[in-house]
Amino acid sequence: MKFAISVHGAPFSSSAAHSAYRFAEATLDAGHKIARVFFYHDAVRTGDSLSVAPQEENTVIDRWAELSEKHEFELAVCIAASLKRGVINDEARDRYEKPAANLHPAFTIVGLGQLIDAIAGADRFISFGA
Amino acid sequence: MDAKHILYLLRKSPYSSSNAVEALDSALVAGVFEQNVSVLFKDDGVWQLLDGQRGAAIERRTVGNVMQALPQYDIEQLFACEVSLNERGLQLEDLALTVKPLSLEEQRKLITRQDAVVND
Repeated sequence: MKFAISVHGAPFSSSAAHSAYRFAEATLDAGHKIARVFFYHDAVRTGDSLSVAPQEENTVIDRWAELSEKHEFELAVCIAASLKRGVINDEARDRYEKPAANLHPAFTIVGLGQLIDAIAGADRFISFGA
Repeated sequence: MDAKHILYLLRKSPYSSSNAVEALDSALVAGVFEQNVSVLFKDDGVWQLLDGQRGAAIERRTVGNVMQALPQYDIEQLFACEVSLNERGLQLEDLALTVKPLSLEEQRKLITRQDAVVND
């Protein structure tokens, strides 16, 4: 089966990104496919490559990057939600004349239409709220 | 793109975070992509429906105004949890939008009919 996943809670302050990651791993282990993982609301911060995790915790971003590379699915960050929260790519840095870009290279910035496209194209959809 | 039955299950109060307005944006985009969209306001999410909101007073977008765009995007299946409305003393005439109040059993049936449920 083809799954689409949406994550809504901020990393660390919410368990959403971690739960979604564990769910994605279990989904793939069970032989299913993941079409796209969409990060919305405060979850866009998951794509911030400047985050440094405390020693006993895992940086969920590196694990997402590894999993998406291995299983070839997209990690998509919503553009409207990410710009205002300061998660930006090189293009947005130049366009809005910001001092730096911080989006992790494994993530892409997309519009909300990509969430709807993922839901419409998947057999199952699950969202991890804040 | 296939048309799916998508339910937005909105449970967050309108101004405690930006989730309410962002979730409504998402529902509107689903409408633009011609999905069969329903919206269920539940728990503190029913406050989003309250008439007479003025977000400008706290430098925020007015959630009530975003919500009123729903019917313009052919999103007309609008529901509210009857229990949540009653618990908060809200009457249908207090609301800015016409919604159908649903019992818990009716909500269960509504959710069962969906292909996907998006929470906030």
